[in-house]
Amino acid sequence: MNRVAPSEGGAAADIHRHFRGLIVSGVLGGGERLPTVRQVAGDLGVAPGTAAKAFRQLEQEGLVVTRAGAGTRVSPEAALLPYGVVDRIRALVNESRRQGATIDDVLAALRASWDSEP
Amino acid sequence: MVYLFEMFAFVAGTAVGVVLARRAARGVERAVPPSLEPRRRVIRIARAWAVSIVVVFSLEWWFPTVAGGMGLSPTIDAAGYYQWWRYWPPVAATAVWVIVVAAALARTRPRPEAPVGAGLRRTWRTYLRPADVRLALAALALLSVTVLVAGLASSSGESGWFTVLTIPVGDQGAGSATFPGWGNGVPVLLAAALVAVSALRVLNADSIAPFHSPATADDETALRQAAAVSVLAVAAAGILLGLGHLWLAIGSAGEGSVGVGIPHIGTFTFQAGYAAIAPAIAYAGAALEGLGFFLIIRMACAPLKIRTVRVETARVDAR
Repeated sequence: MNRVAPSEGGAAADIHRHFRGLIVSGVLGGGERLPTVRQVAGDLGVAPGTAAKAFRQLEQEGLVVTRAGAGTRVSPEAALLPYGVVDRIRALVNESRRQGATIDDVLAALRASWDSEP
Repeated sequence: MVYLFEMFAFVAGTAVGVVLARRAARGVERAVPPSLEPRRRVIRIARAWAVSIVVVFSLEWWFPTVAGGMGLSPTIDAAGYYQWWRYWPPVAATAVWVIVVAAALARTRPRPEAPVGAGLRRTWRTYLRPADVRLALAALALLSVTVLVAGLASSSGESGWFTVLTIPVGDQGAGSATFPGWGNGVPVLLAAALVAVSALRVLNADSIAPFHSPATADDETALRQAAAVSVLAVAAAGILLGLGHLWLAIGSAGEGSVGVGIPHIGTFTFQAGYAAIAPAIAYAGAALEGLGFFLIIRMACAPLKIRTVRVETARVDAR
């Protein structure tokens, strides 16, 4: 988990920076739907308008795309990896933790698998 | 014969559920923070209370038998057909369970004290296993198709309800058999729709609710998972019990025959068009019921083990 300290820009700027970090670091995949404004506002204890403002900033920067009926999704161009890959990485991380595997061993196995597969 | 198989499904589903639940009982429940204790109590009571659905099913099943033995026939109408309310009670009991549990979960949801940042979108499916979701959706789809097809095949009896299957008897007219047509299927489908909508609402509300605090987020996630899995298991089980009972009745109707005696020639019997596969439909119905019993009993008998779950969200100090 990463922690983002409050800044001068206020809550909207914090939320914007938080999601920007998740997108460019690869935590969120290209095409993945962002949480709803209602969920973000509830989780962070802010007004829905504040969360919506942060989402608008992300959209202006081209990090997310909002379409009517399809919600707000991470722009494929802005993301490190497509959502399909990120989703499987999450499943791998969950299973590895459940089995008690270390990240070093998982990375080593991933690299070996990557190199051995045609 | 198929009703003996139904009894076998009841016993087998229950027994296998108990055995698997006992196997799952190995291990000790972990303590949760005091703020989450009411919620865990609700989930534990709700899981035990789910057995009431099996009890309702058994009553609906055994009561006519016992009453019939006493010379009463409370479920048979004047024309000799099953009453329309014969099929929906287990599904309606499931809907009541889901609605009451939803209210209890909402009341015991801890108030947010410190923000836990939302990185990932949470939906009604977030805390569920995809295979469980597929099973529930398949059961609901199959129930809808069954009610539609059986309804279209049914005829209105003397009572006016569409609870009769007309069996053509050559040029001698037609016979009829008790059949779960619109009169029986629609109440089951309405109850199943209520179950589905109620389950969807509680799963969604529980999923998008904010967490209490970063310190309790892992335990909250584990409890949300336990609640979601329980709600879906009960919802799927209720729908399966309704579906299984309909299939059993459809199969039984198909196995029946109408006899016509012609003087000096003999007696001819006529059956429904699907008589060849009717036994298979009836046995499949009993098996679906067995699966419903299994889902409820396994969940109700297993201890509520809270495993530590790491929250896949990032934390933000946004206030």
